[in-house]
Amino acid sequence: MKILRDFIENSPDLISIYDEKLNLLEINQVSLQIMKKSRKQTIGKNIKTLIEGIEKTDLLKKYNAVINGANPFISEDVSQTVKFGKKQFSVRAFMTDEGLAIVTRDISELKKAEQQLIKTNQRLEELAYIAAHDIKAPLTNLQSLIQLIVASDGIKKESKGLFDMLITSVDIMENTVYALNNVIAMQESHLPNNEYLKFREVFNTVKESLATQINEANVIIRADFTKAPDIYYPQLYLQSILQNLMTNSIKYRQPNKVPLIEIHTLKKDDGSYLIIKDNGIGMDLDSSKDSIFRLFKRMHTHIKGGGVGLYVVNSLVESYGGNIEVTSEINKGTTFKIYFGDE
Amino acid sequence: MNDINILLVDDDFIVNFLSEKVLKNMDFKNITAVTDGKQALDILKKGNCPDLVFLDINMPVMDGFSFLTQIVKEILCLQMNVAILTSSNRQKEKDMASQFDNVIDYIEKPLNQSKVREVLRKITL
Repeated sequence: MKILRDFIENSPDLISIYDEKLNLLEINQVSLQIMKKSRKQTIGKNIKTLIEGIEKTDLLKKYNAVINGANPFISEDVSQTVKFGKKQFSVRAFMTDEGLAIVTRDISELKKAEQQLIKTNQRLEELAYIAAHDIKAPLTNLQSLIQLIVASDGIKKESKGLFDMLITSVDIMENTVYALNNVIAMQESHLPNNEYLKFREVFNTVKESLATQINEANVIIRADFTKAPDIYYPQLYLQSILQNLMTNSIKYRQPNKVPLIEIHTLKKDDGSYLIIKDNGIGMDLDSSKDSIFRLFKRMHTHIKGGGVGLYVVNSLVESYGGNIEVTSEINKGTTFKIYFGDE
Repeated sequence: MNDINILLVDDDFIVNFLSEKVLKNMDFKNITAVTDGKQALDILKKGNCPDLVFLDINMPVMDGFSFLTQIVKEILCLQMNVAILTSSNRQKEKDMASQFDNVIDYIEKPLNQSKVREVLRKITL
């Protein structure tokens, strides 16, 4: 067991083993360093002498429970004020043949970084909101003012071309700001609840909402959900994912071909998959594989689009631990394979 | 209906100008415009209670929600109808607005005739 001993001795985690009376049997190097004590000063001593103030916490009770046969104790939230300042530890305690093993890791830096990240994210969200909102306000005015000028016939003939370009610019800006505000509103909304959903039912709802577009373009849709009929997922998310991807398939169809959308689901060990395949105009992914999900990224400039759909789909899927695989070929079509994450 | 007193409260004078234009086109005659909640409060304190207020949320000096809180505190113009007129579509702000009894509508800018008609349907005079 020399090798095991070496592992314990050289572990960056604090490892100690106690007998059933919580007297110390074994301790590793890094623990001694942090306690600023030698082996001699610690072995055989009781946990109450070794860890100052432990009686004031509920750790003793937890450790005794494990000794008496309870499940291993795991906590990420053990704060200890010790000589070396306030620190946060993750603690695991479990029974071994030798006695109660306690593995402690100093996660103070990790927790600090986590807090900073949360704060930074909040600041960025707020910044995005304020930027989007503060642009929207004068833009709304601009649109109303343009309407008034148009209504009063207030533009000279020779300036008409310039004025039309102004209108186009304002319209483009409006699209962008509108989309941006929607994306922010989506991100601000709390994670909705998971529900047991039938793919078929959600698909039918979406199909209904797209009825006009489907009929106008004479789209053929083949949907097969027999391999994985249900999923545990937020309904609004699934609806939005289907809606965005089906809309894209219809929007980016080949003009001289009957548009075909094939949808099916799969169940694998790691969870459910949804595959949407179309015979549309396709995209050149080689030049932009990573960026197709970027906000305002547009793959085609000749068809009106906000560059928001795929961004929304991807953020919804990723927020639940899933991911999306895309394959596409110009003038052949595009396939999206969505993994929904651990259900 | 066209002789009701309408108060516009928005720090952006262009918004007030545009709202006033819409209301005048609908033949409303008694329209006053101010640029923050404090000025609006001063008008109320003089005993002039408007029948309908179009109120912006984000304003300097005194914002929309402080104005609404203040009139409850000072028991001013309890019968007054308030329509929030904002460019924010934030759920947080909609929820907050719905907690005030006087608030009868939450409108996203810009104001137009159909939005005004919608407010008038909800109004109690």
